[in-house]
Amino acid sequence: MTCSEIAGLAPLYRSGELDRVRTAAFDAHIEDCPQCASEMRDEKRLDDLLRAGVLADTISAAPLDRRVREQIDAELADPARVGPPRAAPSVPQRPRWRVAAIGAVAALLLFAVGYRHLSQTHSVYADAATDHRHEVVDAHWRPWLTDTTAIAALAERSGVDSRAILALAPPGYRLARAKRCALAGRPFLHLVYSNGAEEFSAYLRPRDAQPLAELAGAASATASGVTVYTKDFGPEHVGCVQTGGVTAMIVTDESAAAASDLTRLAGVALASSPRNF
Amino acid sequence: MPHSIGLLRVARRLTSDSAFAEDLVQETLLLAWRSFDQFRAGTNVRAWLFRIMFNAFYAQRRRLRARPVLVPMPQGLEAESFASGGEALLEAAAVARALETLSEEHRGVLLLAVVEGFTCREVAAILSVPIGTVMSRLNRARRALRNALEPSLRGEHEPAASTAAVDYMENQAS
Repeated sequence: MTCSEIAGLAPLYRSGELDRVRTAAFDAHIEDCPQCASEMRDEKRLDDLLRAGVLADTISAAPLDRRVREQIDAELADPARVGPPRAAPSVPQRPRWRVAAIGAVAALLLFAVGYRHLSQTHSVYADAATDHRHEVVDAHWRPWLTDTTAIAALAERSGVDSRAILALAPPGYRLARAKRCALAGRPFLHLVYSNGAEEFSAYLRPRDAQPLAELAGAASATASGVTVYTKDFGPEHVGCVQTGGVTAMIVTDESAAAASDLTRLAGVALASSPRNF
Repeated sequence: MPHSIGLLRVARRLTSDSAFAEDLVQETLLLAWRSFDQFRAGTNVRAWLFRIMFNAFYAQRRRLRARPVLVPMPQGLEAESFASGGEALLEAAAVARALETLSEEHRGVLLLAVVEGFTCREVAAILSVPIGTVMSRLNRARRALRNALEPSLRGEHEPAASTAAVDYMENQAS
């Protein structure tokens, strides 16, 4: 290799993209040519300094992440509400329903929540488990409503009877906070109930015309006229009940038995709620 | 979000404007989310995000070029610290500062290849240019960075500005 070939191939050499034969020739030239060896050393030192200098920048992405999450939440809740940055040169328009359909998968990948679930069957259950882990157990900051009146209004806007959400609190628990979220591309009302020590999540949405396909793979048990489906996702235990006009999922990190009990109680409460879902 | 810090770091150094950089990364993440069906499973999601960001950046820059542009002249490099301090951190800060004097194209390839550690092939995909262009651009960018630093070693500021002017002209001509 000549010195000018070395200079030309140096970027591939540094990134490890040169094949074995040319790497050997490159190494042999550097060993015999003090000028090229010195050049490579200087450039490596410059690269190291540049990397150290730029990586020393103090950067907080938290406010940005929050804005992006809020925008995505808004678009999932109302696909017609697409914000200002509409389309990049390489991104053609697509039907709105597909935006919602791909939403939860994209959010999972971009937000690095639930990587472990991507290798499993992606489902509304998996999303609920991931969401509970991220928001309740790990307590990542998200805008929550804590005022009961505001939560009731949010429930009504979500198509859920506001009186039922209070009835969902088991003895000793109270409704602590709420927000809207998207699971497998479908909007849900996320409620968190607390007894001061333990918290669990309830995800509600008006019942779909078709039952959740994911229910087929879950264990089921019927008690007090209510069929409860349960499934475990790592440390999270998810229960689901569909009664009357609502689909409800309960997620807890306590135990599978707790998920089953809480879901059964939720089913009974929803079945007997004033609007009689 | 695991990639937002890297995107923001590059965007800030690329644009020299933290508010613009935040807008750019926000737009990038939202575009990625909306166009997730175009992402091919098994490929590099990080490179895909950077590609979206650079596309958005160049699109914005084309729009801005339609209007008169004020070219920010670089501040004098911190020659004294660099020359007399000698500590690695001060040197690193001076090198990072010298980056500001380079053209966007040169800053872009250095940030992607050196700071973010993308391979030449990945940089080519991100910037939508042939790999040979990446290699020659990287060589020219390293030379420009070194040229920008030399005056700071001598305690002179003017040549750094001249380098920026040359880079800018080259940038306009391309």
